[in-house]
Amino acid sequence: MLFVELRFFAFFAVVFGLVWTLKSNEWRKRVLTLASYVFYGAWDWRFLGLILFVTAVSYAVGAVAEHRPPGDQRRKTALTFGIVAALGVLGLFKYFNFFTDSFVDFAGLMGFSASSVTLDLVLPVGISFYTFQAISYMVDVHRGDVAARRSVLDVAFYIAFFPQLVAGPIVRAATFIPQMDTPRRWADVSVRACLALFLVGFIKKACVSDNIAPYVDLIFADPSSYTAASVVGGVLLYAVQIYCDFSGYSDMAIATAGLLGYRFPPNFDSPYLSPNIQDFWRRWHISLSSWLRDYLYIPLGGNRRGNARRDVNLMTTMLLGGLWHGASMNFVIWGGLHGGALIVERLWNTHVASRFSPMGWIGAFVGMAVTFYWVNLAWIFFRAPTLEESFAIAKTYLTWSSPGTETLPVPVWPMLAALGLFHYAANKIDAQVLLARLAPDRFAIAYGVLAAVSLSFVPLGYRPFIYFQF
Amino acid sequence: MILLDTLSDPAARRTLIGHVRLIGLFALVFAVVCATLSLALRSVSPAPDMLVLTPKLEHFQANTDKYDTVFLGTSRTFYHIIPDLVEDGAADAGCPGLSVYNFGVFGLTGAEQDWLLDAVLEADGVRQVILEDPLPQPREFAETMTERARYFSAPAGYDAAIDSVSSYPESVPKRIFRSGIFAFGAAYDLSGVGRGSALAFPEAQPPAPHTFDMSEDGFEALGDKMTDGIQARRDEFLSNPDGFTEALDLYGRTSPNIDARAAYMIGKLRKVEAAGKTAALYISPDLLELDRTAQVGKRVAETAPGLSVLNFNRPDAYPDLFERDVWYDFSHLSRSGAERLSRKAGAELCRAQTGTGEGGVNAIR
Repeated sequence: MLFVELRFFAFFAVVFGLVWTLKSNEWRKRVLTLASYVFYGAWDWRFLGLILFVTAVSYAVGAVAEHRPPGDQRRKTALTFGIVAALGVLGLFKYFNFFTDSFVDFAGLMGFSASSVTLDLVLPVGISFYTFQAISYMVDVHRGDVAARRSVLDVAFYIAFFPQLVAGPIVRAATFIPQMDTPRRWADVSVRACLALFLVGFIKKACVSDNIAPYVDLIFADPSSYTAASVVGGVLLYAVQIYCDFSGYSDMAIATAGLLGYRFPPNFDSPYLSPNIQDFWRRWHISLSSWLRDYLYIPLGGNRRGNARRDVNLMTTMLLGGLWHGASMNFVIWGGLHGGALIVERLWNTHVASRFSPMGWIGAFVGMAVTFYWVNLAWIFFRAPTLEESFAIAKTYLTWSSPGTETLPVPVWPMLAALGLFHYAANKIDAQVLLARLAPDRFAIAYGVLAAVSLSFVPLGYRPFIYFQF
Repeated sequence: MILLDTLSDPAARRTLIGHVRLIGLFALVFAVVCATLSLALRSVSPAPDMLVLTPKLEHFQANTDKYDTVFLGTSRTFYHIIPDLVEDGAADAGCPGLSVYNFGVFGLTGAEQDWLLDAVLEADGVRQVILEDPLPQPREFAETMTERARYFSAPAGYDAAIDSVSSYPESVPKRIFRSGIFAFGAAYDLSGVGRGSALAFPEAQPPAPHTFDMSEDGFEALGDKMTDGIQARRDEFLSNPDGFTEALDLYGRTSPNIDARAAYMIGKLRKVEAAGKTAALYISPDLLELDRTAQVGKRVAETAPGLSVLNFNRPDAYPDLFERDVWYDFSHLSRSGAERLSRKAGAELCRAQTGTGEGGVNAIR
């Protein structure tokens, strides 16, 4: 069930009506938990068992933490067990084949022979997201940032809440759980802001990302047939596609939760306008990057143990962040490119930039261009189906040479320019805020017009969200 | 319950009414803009390339002087009428020199038939048009969302679609259900979904246009081009010999609304005559329609004696067309069946032209 499908609107209408009809907070949570399981079960009900397992483990870890003082060994053991169990499920479904194949390859390189044992497992939708949410609950309870829940329903609701269940944002336990304790009030819901945000997300996903996707598919399916300009254009289009797809999903998720009275933190903030890679990660998939920072980078030591250790921690975090996206060397390289850029950036700031005075807007523009160029290079590894294909496209991207003669349709180029301008303008002018500020009658009229025009630009046939595969 | 509280509190009730009014305003604006935009974009969008239909229409329009006789109908025209054998049958019966075109299109609906009929009537070379009773409309909701169904869901075709649905010989609940499908198709078309996208984002590699082998003037034997659906129908027919006998039992039974359907077909045939061409109704052999189309043909012959009716869906009059081995599935003849039928169709057509028919016994008049 996708946010852009008609059946989602029907599903949401029922849930929305039920939730705001009920007075009891407990009943609302029950309804929302049940609705979340229905939402997830619409993909594959068999994997509901996994969510229930992760929920049970998280609840148990929280229960132990509640009864043991901080620093108690059993409390630590329970947390370790919980994280291992959650990551074990994730590892089994997502990484088993990757690691066994990698081991066999490595053994071959060392001169040993080993036979590969692979499992024919389907990757459950959203497993990476709800696993991280579950870990967030266990760690936050362990740290004392949030009290353990006495009701298993609360833990189930936090882990399964449908707006963020399959593709985030990854909402921290400490952010979400306090919201459960007080009944959500309709008066606190900014309906126009939520509807405007939903429409913005819908337009990004259905009207931009889904229309661009066929061009990207063509280029990445057979890059050698296309001219260098078209290949580079395809890479740029992918940058637009994945941003609009994922940030569009996040917008719709935040808006959906908002209409039910729950607040999620923002997940994107005009990332392609970042003047450096560090800033990029403050603006791209914010919920994941901050999760990795707080639950991985800082526990590894962060920047508290010298520059060398900091660089190792940075690279480890980015490599694992890459691997989180999928079990493939492509994602590891993607993470490595970002990790490498963060290290180079630190060295640059320490040894070069600090000797010169700031270059003002010229420096910011150059920084933005270089960052965007590097981010796109990394996207090639993120998108290409194989490592060989990635290197072939990267070579064209870096050298601007290709044997191909086919080209993308001419309208693609003005479209790319327009999308770049939109991205810039969206950072300066918040269309969502402007729309939400309109008087109710004008809002209804403007919303009707925009929704109708948007519908016309929705291509026929649905495409799943890119981040569902993670 | 918050809702009940709201309804009992005047201030809250006013707020609720205000919300409902805003939703209504949104819905109204949304519907009006959708429909307006959809119609505007439709007018500048090219006609879709439709399997079989488009290449057949293009061939016909490029050869308007070549054909003087056109069969216009469903898959039971497409897979049953072999133009060369119709011409041979007519020549053997004393009418040499016919040039027949098979304008059969699988799943042809009433609205589609009207649209194609206009194109046929524009052709000066055409002397006679033989119409088959069309399907009312797409059978399922999902079928209304195909490119072809959408193209024929335009407001200009509403009258034709409503006429076809309302006159179809079936029970009232079924016609209401079909009306729902029609409304869904119309709403889907008017939503405009995809129209702006198709214009603004051109395909980088457009698919090759549909083609059709015209060596048999529009005919194709069922099974020559195999699909999963055709194979499934064939397998079902072969594995269920009793079904054939049971289907034959339908003959002689009657269906509701036969008079309306007869009137509907007479209207179409009169339109052909008004264009200065000879009209005839063709009722194809169809096991699953033995209680329906056979009755419609009979009723047309009774109601409008001046019109020619080629009613082949009659096992008593054409027993050799109802031998199981000449059928491909429960609704279509095989090539050998089509060969038998086409010769007979030519002969009957000739009798209609020369006035030597046997007064409804053998299909004519």
